[in-house]
Amino acid sequence: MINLQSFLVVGMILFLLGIFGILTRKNAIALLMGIELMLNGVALTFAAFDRFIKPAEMVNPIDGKVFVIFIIILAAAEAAIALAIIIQVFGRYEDINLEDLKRMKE
Amino acid sequence: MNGFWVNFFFILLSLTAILSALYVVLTNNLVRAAFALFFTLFSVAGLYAILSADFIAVVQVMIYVGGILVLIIFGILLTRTVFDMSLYDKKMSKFWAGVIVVIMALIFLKVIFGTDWLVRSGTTIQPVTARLGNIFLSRYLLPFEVASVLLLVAIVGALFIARREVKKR
Repeated sequence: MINLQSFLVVGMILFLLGIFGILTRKNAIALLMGIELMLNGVALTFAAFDRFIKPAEMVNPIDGKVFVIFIIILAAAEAAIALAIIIQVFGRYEDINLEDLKRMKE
Repeated sequence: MNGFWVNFFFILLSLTAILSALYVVLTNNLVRAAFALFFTLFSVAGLYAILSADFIAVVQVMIYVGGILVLIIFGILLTRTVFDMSLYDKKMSKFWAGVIVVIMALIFLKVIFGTDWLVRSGTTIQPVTARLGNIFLSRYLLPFEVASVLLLVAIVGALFIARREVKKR
């Protein structure tokens, strides 16, 4: 039961649910949650590869976990910037409906 | 390592993660979506623990659950979209999004089950924190510093974007 494929399937499902959320939502914060789901799926896939795949000669056996750490760092930076933009957009348009955002500057 | 309990927790955590992720993308209430995302992130942290990535599990709980999720809830409450019922895009219906997702799922499943993976033999589970620290300060020193600068830029940039302009007369 605990093998590479089962973890890959779980990561795949999280990634695809994130894509589904991004495609169907129009609220900016809901879309940000979809992006977080996608990042989690990918990070889980990296960790599963790191655990189960036999490392090649030149590769350090812990590289996959390093990638997961970098993914989490980027997700933190991205969430901070995205929410700053969302709050600024809300202050200007009184809404964060993505269909109405057509101008970058008024 | 007891095989039955590992299997049990794997299935439990996977089901929690997937079902609450489904709730995140399907609900109409943003606050409920944020709390379902909480369960998803916690379950993924548990899955990291099963994958013998202890440090990453702790980082996941600290940064995702303690940082990003709190930021998202702040964003929801500051933008008053809690009971926004028109949460869905009109141009892209759920049906076509589902079709796209199913096609991608078929491709991924073909890759996952059709590839002959080079699985490592034996299960050597060791604590990972010390090794991660060593590798961050030796082999990955430059990406580590770049990530630090990126976080600093993100802090300053977020403050700059979210500030309120005071008009001087």
